[in-house]
Amino acid sequence: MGLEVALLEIRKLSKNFGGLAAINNFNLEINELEIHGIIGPNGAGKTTLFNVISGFFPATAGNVIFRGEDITKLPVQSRVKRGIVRSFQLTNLFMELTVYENIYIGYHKNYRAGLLGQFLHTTRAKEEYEICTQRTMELLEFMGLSSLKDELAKNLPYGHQKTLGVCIALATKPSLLMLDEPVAGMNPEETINMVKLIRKTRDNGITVLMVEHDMAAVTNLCERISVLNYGEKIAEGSMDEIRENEKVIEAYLGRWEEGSL
Amino acid sequence: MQLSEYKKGIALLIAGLILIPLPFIIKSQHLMHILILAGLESIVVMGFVAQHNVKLITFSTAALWGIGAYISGFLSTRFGLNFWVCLPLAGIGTALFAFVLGSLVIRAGWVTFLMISIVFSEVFVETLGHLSVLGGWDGIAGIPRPAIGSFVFMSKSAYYYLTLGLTSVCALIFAAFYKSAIGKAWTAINQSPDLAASVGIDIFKYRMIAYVAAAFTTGLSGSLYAHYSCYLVPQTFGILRSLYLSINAAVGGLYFFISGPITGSIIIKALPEYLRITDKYEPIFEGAMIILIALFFRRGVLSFFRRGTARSL
Repeated sequence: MGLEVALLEIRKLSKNFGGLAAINNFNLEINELEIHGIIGPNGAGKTTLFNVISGFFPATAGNVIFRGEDITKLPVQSRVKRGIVRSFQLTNLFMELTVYENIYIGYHKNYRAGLLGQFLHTTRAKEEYEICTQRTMELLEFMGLSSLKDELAKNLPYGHQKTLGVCIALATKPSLLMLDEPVAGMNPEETINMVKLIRKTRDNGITVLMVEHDMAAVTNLCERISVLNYGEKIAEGSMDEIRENEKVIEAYLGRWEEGSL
Repeated sequence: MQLSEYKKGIALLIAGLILIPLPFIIKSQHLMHILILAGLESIVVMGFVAQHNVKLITFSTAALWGIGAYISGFLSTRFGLNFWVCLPLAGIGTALFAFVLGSLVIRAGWVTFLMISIVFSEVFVETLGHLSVLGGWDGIAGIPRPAIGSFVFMSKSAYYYLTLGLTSVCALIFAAFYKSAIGKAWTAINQSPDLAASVGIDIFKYRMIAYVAAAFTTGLSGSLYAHYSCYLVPQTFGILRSLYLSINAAVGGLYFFISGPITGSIIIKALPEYLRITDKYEPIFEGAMIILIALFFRRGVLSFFRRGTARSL
């Protein structure tokens, strides 16, 4: 503890919507190559936290620091360039495109040819297209979607759509992958597959930050867990520590008060 | 992939075989006039479709067209500049204008962009009407026809080939865009702006590219229009014209990026003539078209022949 430099550090982060504090004075450190889970009751501010870290919403106060660099004010695409990529809670895909094209677009930020080069279709641009094609195929193989590569995204079953969502995020070659409820709505078999994929992703050198309601998946995957309630962190630690925490039990089950019934 | 390239080649060949000998088949001067206008409009509509592709809805296409036309008309009548100098200047001037307006407005999101485009359309016509340098409401008259050496593009069939040439050039420009990574980014924005942003696509940048490219080709088309009609009045470029142009786009199909605008423009221009609908009843015809399209061909008439995807040229 303390010797490692955190990959992502969040300091005193707040996000207000009008008078409502969705996130209040939130601190978090994520180390390289860990799988960190964020749990909490509905409306606790988990998705808002994701939106602030990935740059979709501006922070009201506080700092987001990635690899020692303050990125609080950067737009989304600059954060993606630095390696922070998020997936969406609801399936958000390029529905009218094939599985292959979906992932291919994910490689966008890796193009090195300039706009003019792309427009004129120079040899360099062509070489890059070929590299992207090759990488897309590799990723499809890795995620087990090769056989579906020419299927339109909108025709895929739900589980595969979710997998494809993660795939698109992975195509950008992130160093921090943020997953918003990756197994929500999946059947047990699909959940097991997704859990395996997430672990495999981490073993390939990608740090994972995930929000999830499915406790089985969280227990199975996450080394450390933060519990969020009303925009504040009420506990942090391993699953066993969290389970014993009074505040957590209160947040999930409510408190029994004298005369409340 | 091979098969679709092959099919594309055949489609191009058929289009060429029909379009190139047309002036020798059609004897009606009026029909040639209609085809020239359809060609010029199809360029403008390609720009509209490109903007729609990055989720920018605009009702100022005709105003951009007017900027190109007025640049060309003004330079040729006031300074006596050659058409071949005016043409690129019109394109560049319109593109520059779009660059300035775009960098101010596009960042504010598509709703603001739409509102501003409506306002801009109205302001443009009013401004022209009150600028005596540009002829005010009387407009600019006596714009010369283009010429190469001693050959002047005087006849309708000569102008037809000029229009066909420019339409092909603009079609090639847009085809190059759609084929490149830029076009892929456009498609991504069209399908899901949030997801596109989350993989690092700079939405503002790609919207600007689409807007400025559309303005450039629209300006070129405007220049050709100015030298064709030889006479410009502000009212031509009002918001009603923009609305009609968007109907061209819907009829052809918003997801057929190049074939759609061409087909749509020809249908919308030629069908009222064919059905002998006079100007008085044309708005009714246009209205009926848009209702029919909305009910039966949500993806345009071309979807009848070919399953439209999000990326057909």
